[in-house]
Amino acid sequence: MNEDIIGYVMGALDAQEHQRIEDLMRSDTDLQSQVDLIRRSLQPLESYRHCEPPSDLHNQTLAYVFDQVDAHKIGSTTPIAQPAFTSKQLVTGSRRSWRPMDIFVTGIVAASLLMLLSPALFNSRFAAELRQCQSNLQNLYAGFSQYSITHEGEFPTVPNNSAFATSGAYAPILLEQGYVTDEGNFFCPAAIESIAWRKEGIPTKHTVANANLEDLTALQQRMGGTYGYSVGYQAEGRLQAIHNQQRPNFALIADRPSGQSIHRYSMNHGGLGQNILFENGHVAFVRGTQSAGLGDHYYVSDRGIVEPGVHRDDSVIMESGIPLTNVSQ
Amino acid sequence: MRGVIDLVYYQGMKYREAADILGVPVGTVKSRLHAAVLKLNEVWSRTINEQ
Repeated sequence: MNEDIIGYVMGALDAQEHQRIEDLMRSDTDLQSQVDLIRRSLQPLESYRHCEPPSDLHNQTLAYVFDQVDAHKIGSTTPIAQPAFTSKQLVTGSRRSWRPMDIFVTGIVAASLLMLLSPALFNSRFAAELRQCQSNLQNLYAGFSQYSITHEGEFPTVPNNSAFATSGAYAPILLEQGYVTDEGNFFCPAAIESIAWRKEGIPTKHTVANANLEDLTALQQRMGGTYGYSVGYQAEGRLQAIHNQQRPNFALIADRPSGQSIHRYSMNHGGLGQNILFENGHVAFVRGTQSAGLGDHYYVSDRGIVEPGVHRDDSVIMESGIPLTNVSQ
Repeated sequence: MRGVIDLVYYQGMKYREAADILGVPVGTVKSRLHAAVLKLNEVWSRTINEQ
């Protein structure tokens, strides 16, 4: 079993290697059966991904603890040491105030526990949010894919309307035309804006069109949720829609970039990297901002500018709120 | 082996990214994943035979 084929199935190959395997698969049926074999072997991992603790775990744990206590009281011949204070004394009796040393020692113990637990808690939460975000992108891909099928292979692009001409327009388009039904998919759970923005929701085309100037900027920023979108490329003096070609290294939508970072890293996941949905439906968490194979920067054009791509293969993920009227006219 | 699966399979990292994080050569990441998939395949085949 070839290591590169395993990498292909897991999406772990660089863009060029990925393409090479895809090319080989077209002519080699044996290779295709190897891919199927690996996919089948990975099924146990997939079921583990969705494994959750039983809902009554705390009841089971408590029952187990009480059983153990009862077993000790009845069956054990070893007398259990008497506590220094009875519960009554602790609650109502001579209640001793805390001495400075008690507070100090307790503080040390609490700080030590916090230091021990913090990385584990952080990692577990980070991983959970990362997976939820990837699941959001996969759900959005279903909408994008459907949209392209019914629009001659094209993904949503923005109208030349000045209020609506920003990359985030993709979200109201997909929602209002029924390609995405759950608005929650537009919000990465790790992004700090998500809670507030989810309450407000994705603004409708109607709301944006009728907004006053004071509200418009906030509405435009929120329009695309917490994801950025590769809205199109510039050609023939106007913005052209992206045509769905299932390209494995063409970033379609991703955690929205941040203007705070010089490299425009997304801050959705604490600046550690960004989830990217590629045109072929593959989602990956990448730490850099350039595609491994082609060196294409995900968040700026080939000219190094925050603008829609300058040719059909130049993907530029832009956050909502940046006006596109200059290129679309 | 578990770390490699977590990074590559569950977190969707490339071979190269996983190797950087684990501080091992790319070849080691590949061979560990290869071993993991072989093991999974073995378990899968055994389960099917038992059924």
